[in-house]
Amino acid sequence: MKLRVRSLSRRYEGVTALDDVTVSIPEGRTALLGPNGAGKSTLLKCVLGLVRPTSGDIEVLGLDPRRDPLGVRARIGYMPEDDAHLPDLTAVELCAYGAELAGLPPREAIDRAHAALFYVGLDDKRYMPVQGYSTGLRQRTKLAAAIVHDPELLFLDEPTNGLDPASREEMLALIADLRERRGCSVVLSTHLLADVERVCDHVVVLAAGKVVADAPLDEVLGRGDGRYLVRVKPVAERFAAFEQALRDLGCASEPSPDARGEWIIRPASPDDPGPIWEAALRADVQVRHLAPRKASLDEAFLRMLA
Amino acid sequence: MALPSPDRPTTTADPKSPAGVVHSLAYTRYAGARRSPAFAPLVIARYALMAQLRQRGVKVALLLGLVSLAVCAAILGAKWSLPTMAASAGFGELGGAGQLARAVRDGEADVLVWALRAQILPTFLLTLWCGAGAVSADLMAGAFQFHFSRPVSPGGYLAGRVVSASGWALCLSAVTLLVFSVERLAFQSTPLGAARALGLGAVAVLLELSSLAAVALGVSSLTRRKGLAQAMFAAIAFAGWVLCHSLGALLGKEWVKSLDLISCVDGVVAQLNHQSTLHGGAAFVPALAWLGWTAGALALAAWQLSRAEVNRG
Repeated sequence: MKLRVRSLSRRYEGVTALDDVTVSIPEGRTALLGPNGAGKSTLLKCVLGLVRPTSGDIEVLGLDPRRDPLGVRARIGYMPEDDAHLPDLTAVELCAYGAELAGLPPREAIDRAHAALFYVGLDDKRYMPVQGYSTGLRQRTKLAAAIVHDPELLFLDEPTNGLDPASREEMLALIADLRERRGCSVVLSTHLLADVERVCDHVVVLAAGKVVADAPLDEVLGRGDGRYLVRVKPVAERFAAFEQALRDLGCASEPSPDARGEWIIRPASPDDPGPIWEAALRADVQVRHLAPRKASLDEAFLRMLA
Repeated sequence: MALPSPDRPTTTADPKSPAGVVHSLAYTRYAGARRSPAFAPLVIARYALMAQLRQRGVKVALLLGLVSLAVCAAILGAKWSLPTMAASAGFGELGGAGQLARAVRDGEADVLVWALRAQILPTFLLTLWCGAGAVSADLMAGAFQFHFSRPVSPGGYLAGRVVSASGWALCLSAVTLLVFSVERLAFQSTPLGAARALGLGAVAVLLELSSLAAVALGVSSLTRRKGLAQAMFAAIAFAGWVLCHSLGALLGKEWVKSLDLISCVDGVVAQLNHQSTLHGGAAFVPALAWLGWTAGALALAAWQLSRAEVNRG
């Protein structure tokens, strides 16, 4: 595990930002989801050692950020949601500065600053002051500054905010590549569930300071609502008989089959798709695909919050 | 085997992955040595000094300081050369040796006083530009998150900012002090006397710059608006001077005049030169005032940093 949090609570005056949070984040790409005010940023700041928890334990890469905050921060990277740059510094200088603060010698820092900026797609614009950048360039610069010192664990707070579709795809490709090629585990805090489905393999959902889910993405999506996706041979004249047979066996079909013969069916017992097979047999319909229907992450997210 | 063109994508995502491309694979893992977080204040100071040199105000203040140095060096040279010429010409033979000895002592005291006075305006302007808006600018640009998500402690950050707030002023003052000391040695003083003047001058310069930098950072930590922080710093320096000198004259108390930010260092320097007009308990007032300004401002800045949202707890 890259990160373990046990019974973590953080209370501000009159507000409980985190309430007995226990999560384990494995290697790989993990999404930290939750509505506004769920406690995502507070959790990240506790992990970074920027905020002292009221109670509970944290272990980041085997270290306790309360006892060794500087040691933890040397081994992790953080890309904040808001602007985080220094006035009058160019992107190269900013990244080299970040690398030196993380302990790299000056020569290594400048070399890696160039490499990281090339990696995120900043070419000759890297010699311009950061305050003149567009949103997309700033996001790329923040990512380069977060990875320039080669962190083992990377926290990204809304990395695709304000990006156009092409830039968003590139940012997601970089996030995927960081794990696959560089072996850097990523924790992605975002509201964009589509991004999570594209790049993450583990999900932690927070709501009102509590953990609602902490599971692999497949498991979260697979926790369907008892419906099955059924694809049959598209012979339209048998569809009415199939529908009647389903009704007779206590199954609900929804919505109506489309032109390709795709059905969403809820049998009487969610764990037993037998009546679907039985209905197909009675109506003489050839079943080509039958599997529990996975909800979209949006649906799963709303269900968990409800 | 042909190498891929740098202009062309080097990887493409599979259909299930994001459709974007990674343009360069030059970024690799780092396995080299890492330095201790104790270096962080020096790194902060070095990058800040580099960025400050791009500001027009800093360039103008440095130029002004060099002009001031040249003018004062010429005046001091003329002043110091006259007693030497008079003594060597045999004027006033009975009192010549005593006059020369007194002139040497006074000249060494001049090094301290003139080193501060020659650069008072450039030093003030440099601290104004480099220190009085430093924390404000960081607050505005989100640089707290940048610093404190890396192995930088609030104390390390503050130390780096103090050095960077006074760095260029220190360079200017050090050059000034060195030039005056060498000039003094060339005209009249002994190497020991020049070294003494240089040492005391260095103490005076450090006292002056540390109090100015601390107060500049203290007011800078109070607001996100750089201009407001600079105006507050200027008001503390000038309005404080006017207020203390007016009150001192009104009350007839000389020590009241040494309470403000600028005069407290002058008071300490006068004591170093054995030229102070304050006696008894009042003799400690300039040093206590300096301590109050410096420690108070640094404590204020440290407190503000500890209250910053990103560093709460």
